[in-house]
Amino acid sequence: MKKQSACPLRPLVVLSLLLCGFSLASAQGVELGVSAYPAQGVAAAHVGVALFEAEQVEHQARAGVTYGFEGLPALSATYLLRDTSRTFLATYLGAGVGLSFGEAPAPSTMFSAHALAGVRAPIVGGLGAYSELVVAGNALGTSMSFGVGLTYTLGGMN
Amino acid sequence: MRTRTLYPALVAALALLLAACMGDTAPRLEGLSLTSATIADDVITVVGENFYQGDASSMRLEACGVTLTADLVEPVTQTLLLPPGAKLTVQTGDRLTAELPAEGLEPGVSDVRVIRPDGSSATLENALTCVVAEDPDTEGPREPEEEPEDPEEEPEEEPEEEPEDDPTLGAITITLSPAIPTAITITGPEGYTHTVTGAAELKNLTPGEYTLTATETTELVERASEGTTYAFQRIWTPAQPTTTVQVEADATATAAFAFELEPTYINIVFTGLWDGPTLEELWSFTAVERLKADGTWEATSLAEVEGVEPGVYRMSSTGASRAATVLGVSYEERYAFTGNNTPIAASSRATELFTLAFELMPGGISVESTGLPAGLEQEYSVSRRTEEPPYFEPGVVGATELAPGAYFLELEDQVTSVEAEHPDGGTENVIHVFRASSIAFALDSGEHLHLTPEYELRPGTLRISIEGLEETDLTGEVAFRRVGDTVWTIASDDGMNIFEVIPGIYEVQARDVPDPSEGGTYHYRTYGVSGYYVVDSYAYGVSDMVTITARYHRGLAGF
Repeated sequence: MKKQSACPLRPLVVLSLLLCGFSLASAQGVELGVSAYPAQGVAAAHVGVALFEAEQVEHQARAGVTYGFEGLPALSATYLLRDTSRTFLATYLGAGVGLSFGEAPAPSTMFSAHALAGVRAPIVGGLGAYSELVVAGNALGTSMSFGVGLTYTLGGMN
Repeated sequence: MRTRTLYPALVAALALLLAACMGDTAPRLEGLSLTSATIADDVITVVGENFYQGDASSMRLEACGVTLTADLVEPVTQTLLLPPGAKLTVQTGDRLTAELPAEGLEPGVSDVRVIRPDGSSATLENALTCVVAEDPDTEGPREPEEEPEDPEEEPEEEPEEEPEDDPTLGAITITLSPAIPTAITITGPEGYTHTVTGAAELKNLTPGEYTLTATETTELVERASEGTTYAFQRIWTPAQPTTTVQVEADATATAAFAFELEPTYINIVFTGLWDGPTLEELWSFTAVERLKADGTWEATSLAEVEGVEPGVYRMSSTGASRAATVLGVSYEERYAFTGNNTPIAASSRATELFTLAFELMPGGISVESTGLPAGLEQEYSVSRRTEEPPYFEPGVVGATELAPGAYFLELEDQVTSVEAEHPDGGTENVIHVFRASSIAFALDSGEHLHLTPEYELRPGTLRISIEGLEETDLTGEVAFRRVGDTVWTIASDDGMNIFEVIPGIYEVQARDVPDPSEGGTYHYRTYGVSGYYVVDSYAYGVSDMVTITARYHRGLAGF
């Protein structure tokens, strides 16, 4: 019998998703993004919600879905801190958790964790481009991936 | 700015928190099991199920006192997403291999334990016989538990060091399947003779022809369950007792011995069941279990009664049942298991006996009749129906517990005399007979039937024969009524008139019949008919019918 994990971050993840929902409802500070990790053959989409800004650092919660063009998609939740002192090539750091769904004999659900660092550049209006480096791992191994993508921020660039 | 320097630290702290969460989220994997393990050319091969390894993590194997890194043979690759942007390659398979090191091995019979990257493991007990390096001071390999000849020897002499292989000599590798600690005798050139136990590798052998002989091995096995230990013997016989190999210089010959397990024989006797149950029927309600090494019982089959694997067996049953039919009537027979499930330790070549006793479960009936007057009691018998003539077994009087089957319930006639007032004075006894119809029923095992037959008063039979009017167009007129009734019943037909009547005393009047011819001068009349008659319930052997003959005679009216 496997002992259930008592991870204290679960409430945080749930809270983040709820905040995403509230922010979507008001369509303020909501970021939609798609990205690709070409070396891994993985595509992803995410919804980010700006929670608050303090001393030129924006706190953002991001919920994403990842698809590897086989099997079932995986889910992730990430907490980001973004430097807002620069309007061009703004950097950000983040960390989060993920959930993937394997096939036997691997476990049907596997918990993972990741940390990332990225840079974002505005293009026009709310549209922007970004690239990020992600390190992720679970009980079976770790992997580093590089991704590029586009984001669109509802309500204009912030 | 202070916050800008702080936020990488915040992210790092968050990452540490995540890592802490990962600590107790080891994956739940499909069960790992091992089937067999073999050694050949210092490589261990293990067969099982659900082996896997991740991108950077291998499986480990513990055997012969060492821990090895194992590789999957013919792995099946599967990818697992690692969100938000990566994949992992997971390899699965059912065979793995690991190479044994030259040193550090513990000789003798060894368990094999396979450990997956997540730490889950499975063990195959006594799966291998580990061989140590050859002792250069003897002709054959060193015995597994052999101590150094001189423990006081200087440590600088390094007695564990492998001797240099002589390129002019050869070697023999002996493998056993399964790996049992049996003795193998090797004879060869120049009077060479040596005996090893289990798998071994003999080095520095003079080239030539060697004969290896394996003998039958008896292994005493003990199994424990619920505080009781059971012992049985397993006898292993070599499929080919003797084999010959040719040893050449600087080469290794292989001698492989396969052993067969001598079976045990189990006889099973079923008692108390119906005649001629089929094997399929017997197995359908019988459970067989074999005691495993860990003390638990596993379901197995003894369908191959001609030789099964030696072990500790027990048999049990939840009872049997079948649908039966007699003369087109269906019923269910159920048999309770009355034996016990005491385990039996069955050794190779031994014959053991299981006796499974069953008992047919009966059904029950209760009979509650109606229609009998006070003072009379029902009497019944139950007859079982059979397929063969006379189609009934003798009736059982008053039975309440019966074997399942088809039956007839028959009730005895009840007879009593009732005093009736006679118009001429005094009383007369009238016989009353009460009769109930038989009831056919089918009774299942464990079923209880409540039967309610109804008694009815049998009528009396009054027969009135009218004669003497056959040649005329006239009809007779014999009237009767029960004493106390006001309505007459008329018998008028020529010949016999039959009436079923309530038992009692009847008044009968034979009335004159006028002859209308010749001006009504004549009448037809009878003599000695009118009067009172006692009419009993008619029952064969108990009471009779009442017969009145009214013979009409023609005579002048008024006389």
